Amino acid sequence: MGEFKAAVQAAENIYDRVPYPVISHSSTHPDRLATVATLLGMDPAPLEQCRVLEIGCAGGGNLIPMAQALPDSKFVGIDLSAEQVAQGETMRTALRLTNVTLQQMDIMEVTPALGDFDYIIAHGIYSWVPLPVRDKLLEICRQNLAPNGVAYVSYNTYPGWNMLGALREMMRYHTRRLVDPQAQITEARVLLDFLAKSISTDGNTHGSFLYVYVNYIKDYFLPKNDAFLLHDELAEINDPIYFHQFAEQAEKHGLKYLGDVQFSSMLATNLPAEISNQLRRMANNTVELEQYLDFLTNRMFRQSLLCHQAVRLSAQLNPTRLRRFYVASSALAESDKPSLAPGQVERFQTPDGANFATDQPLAKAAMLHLIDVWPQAVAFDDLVTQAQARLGSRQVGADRLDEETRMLGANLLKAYSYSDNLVELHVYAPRFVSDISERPVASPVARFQARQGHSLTNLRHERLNLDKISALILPYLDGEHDRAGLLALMQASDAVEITRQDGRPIEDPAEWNFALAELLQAKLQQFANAALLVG
Amino acid sequence: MDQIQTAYDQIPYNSVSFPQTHPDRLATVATLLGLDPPPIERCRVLELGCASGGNLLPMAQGLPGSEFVGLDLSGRQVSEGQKAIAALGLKNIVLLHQNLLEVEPDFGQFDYIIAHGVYSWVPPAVQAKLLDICRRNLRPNGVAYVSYNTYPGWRLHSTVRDMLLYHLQQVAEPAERISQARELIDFLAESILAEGNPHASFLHSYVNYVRERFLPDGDDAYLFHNELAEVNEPVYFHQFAERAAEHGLKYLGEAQFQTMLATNLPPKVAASLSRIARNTIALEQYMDFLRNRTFRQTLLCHQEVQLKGKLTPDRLAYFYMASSALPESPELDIFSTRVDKFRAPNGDTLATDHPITKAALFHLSRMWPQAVQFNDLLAAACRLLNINVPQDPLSPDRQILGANLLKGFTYNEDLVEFHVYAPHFTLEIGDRPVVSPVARYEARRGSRVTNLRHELVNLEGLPHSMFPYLDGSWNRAGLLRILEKWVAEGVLEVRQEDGGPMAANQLRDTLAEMLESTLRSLANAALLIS
Repeated sequence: MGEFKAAVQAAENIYDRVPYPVISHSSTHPDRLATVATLLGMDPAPLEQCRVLEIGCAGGGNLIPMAQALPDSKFVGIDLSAEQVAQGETMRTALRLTNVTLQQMDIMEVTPALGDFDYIIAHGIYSWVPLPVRDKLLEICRQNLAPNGVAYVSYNTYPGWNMLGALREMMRYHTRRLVDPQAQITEARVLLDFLAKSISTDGNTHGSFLYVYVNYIKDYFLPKNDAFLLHDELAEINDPIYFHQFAEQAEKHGLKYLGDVQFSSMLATNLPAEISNQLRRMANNTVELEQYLDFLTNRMFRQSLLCHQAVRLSAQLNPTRLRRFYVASSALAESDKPSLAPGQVERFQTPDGANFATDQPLAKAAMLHLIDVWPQAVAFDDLVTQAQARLGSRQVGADRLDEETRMLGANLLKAYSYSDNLVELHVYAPRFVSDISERPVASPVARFQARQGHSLTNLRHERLNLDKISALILPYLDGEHDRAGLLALMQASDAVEITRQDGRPIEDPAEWNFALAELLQAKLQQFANAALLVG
Repeated sequence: MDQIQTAYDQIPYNSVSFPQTHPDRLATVATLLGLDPPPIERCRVLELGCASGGNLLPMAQGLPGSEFVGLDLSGRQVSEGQKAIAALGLKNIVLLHQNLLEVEPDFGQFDYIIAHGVYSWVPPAVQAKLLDICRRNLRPNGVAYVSYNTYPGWRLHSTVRDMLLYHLQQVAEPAERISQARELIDFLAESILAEGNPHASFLHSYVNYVRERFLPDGDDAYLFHNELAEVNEPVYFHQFAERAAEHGLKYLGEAQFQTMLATNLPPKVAASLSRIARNTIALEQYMDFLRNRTFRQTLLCHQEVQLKGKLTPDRLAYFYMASSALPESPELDIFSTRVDKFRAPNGDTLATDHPITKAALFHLSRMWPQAVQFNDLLAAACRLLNINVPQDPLSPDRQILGANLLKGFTYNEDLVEFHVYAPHFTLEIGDRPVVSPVARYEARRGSRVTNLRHELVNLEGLPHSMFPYLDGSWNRAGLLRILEKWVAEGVLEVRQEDGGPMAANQLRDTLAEMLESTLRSLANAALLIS
């Protein structure tokens, strides 16, 4: 334990000196946890009234937006770094939130007295702490988890980390005599640049493999990501683990592997049929199947969900369960004029290339409705109603509605299982507006973040970059300012630069005012589309 | 250790020679780096993990005045080796079925200790003991050779190994492990999508590389012992050097001398490296990073040894040189000072305008594969040029020749080889040709034999069939009669160019030609001893 204390001491210092960015992680939201758990046969606690614990909450960047969006749920965050917790406390006070508590606490000091939680989140901890802390973390996931609770643990995994590990070890060797974190970051970059320039790609096959990876890492850690480079790559401890070993560890602590927050990554069905058949022959259970999938994808990071061993899961995805979900889709119809007629196949696709095709009129109408209302999520039953309305004279008759509804569910589930960019499933619909009111109101969290110059968290719990004009306008979207007021604000600021399409500056005042109004309208529309407006 | 013993008893390692472990190589590198190693003609050599003596036997035959001791944990392999020793009547070699953990200082003192393919495949306690032996059983000026798997290259390699081990968790039987391992590699090579995510596409090309490079048909023992071994603990070079230091040993150099030098890298890279690295070990560690090195063959000596500094030309006189490089142009002009190039079989070239160097390389190309002592080489070059041999050790011509040969060697030993002795083999074919007895013994069991340069040679066709008869009891006429008998029995088929049968006298001439060319090829392969 003596050694472990020293490591913790070091961790305390380094996170105080180069704090981890205050950011949200959409994949840790209880909505994601509950969605996957529900699909796998669990009945997790309703989000609107639940208790959430985050281990390693940093400055509350993840927990505080959740707390604001779910006012009747309770949130507790603990972190070892007093400075980061104090930073979070400032944010909490400014937002006058009473349903979230952040406290400086050592994981090792957590006891059952901290309470029972429906959701436990431990993001970016497991791989970076000594063995006893890892054990303790899993112990908390059992001891402090309600019987129907879901725990989220993310970690670095092999085989992907074999190659990343090689680069990490090179950077650690190169910086081994440096104490100052900033110097370590600088020197690590010097080494990456040196390697990228010097590795010979011809003749030496191994060298060319390394070359690919060095350049990948160089691109990944852009200069603005200094803190990631320091805490993720150069950290004293970074012990990746094979998935099957993690599952064993969980089991030892009375926990069971439930699934992955990235639901589609669990399924071999997304592979060519021959490969998935062969995989199923080789693998005797879920854990083995996913381990082989990790081998095939050279996976390097996992976000695993755990539950109590006593929980009964169902391996079969049941389309009727879909009635519990809210559905959203950011896909686009491939055709300009999609047809709702039966027998006519329509294809829906996402910018990343995922697509799905259906000729079922109800599914096509449902997809068109989702596209219209994006980014809003629609309750499954409402979606059926809306789709029926859209079908008009082609409406599904009452005698076939049950069957067609079941098919719709199966279609949506298939799309979701392929990629959640095609179809999203949620257990609740976050409250935000798509229409821009006369006196727009932005989420208080986003307003606070804009004032601080941080990246933004929207009501879908996604992280968005903050640009200069958004930083200017967002704090004033408080329901007090109408468009004229916002325009006046923009007039007075030197942050706003507008040039004409031909690149010349605008000199005519009338033209300038018109351009400014256009810009404001575009920005407000952007906020609405980005799920940042609540009124 | 019981597991290791069993594994090697079940699937014996193909016990073969490794030229880079030969005391000649160890002494050459040591001398270049300023050590005065014991003369290899009268030395004591210990091999840890000698398998069935495939490496040690040819050495013992080639260096009859030296003594060789080999240890191995596998009784089956050792007893095979003992049979070979008895059959060959070698008196200067012993193979023992013994655990290296039982080796104590009173086991004996050795000038050269060889541990090839052992260190990475044994548990940490045995690794420590191995270095301990290199310290306590090594004579003051001795050289130890330890090869091991190294990072960062093995990070990538581990990816495949880990997959194989996971896949074979439930499979115990060796043959079944081998066959399932091959199946998995095939499956992965076909299943990992080249156009998946960047990591997967990276792995795709790597798995395919492994399949082609490391799993060729048949080499099951390699697959079994290297990829599927229970223990495989690669180590970073700087960590290995630290461990050696803890055992009172000093990093001397690499058996593959060329890999130690940053000068083979582009000048800009070499310049950055020398800025970054503060000492030899750091320099080599960074080079391992750049080359993604997977394997090292490290030479160690006692920490107390004082290495002489820079290599001086007079020390070059110790060495024997050999070269298979040929003049690039048929109009080689050794007398002029125009630049001429010599090209090695691998394509590397050495260019020089120095007449004595040109004459020396020309001489070596005619002598290949014989090695020529530096002074003799200088004399031969001067003879070709009709000039007097410079006697002064500091004469510029001597120095330039030495520097040029060294430059060739440090760039690539395919250009110029350095040795501390000239192995005894002949290029002249006598009436009663004799091939190396060890090679003749090896040829009974397979096509791969060890030549007198300690290299593996693959024998095929006539050279392989004739091998048993090349023991000095048959003269040319007798050998020709054997060929005629084979033709009569239909074992050997000789036809006209148009496919028709041959007349008797024509047949005899053809067979005589075939015999000559067979013997010539064996001589050129450094397999004939008289």
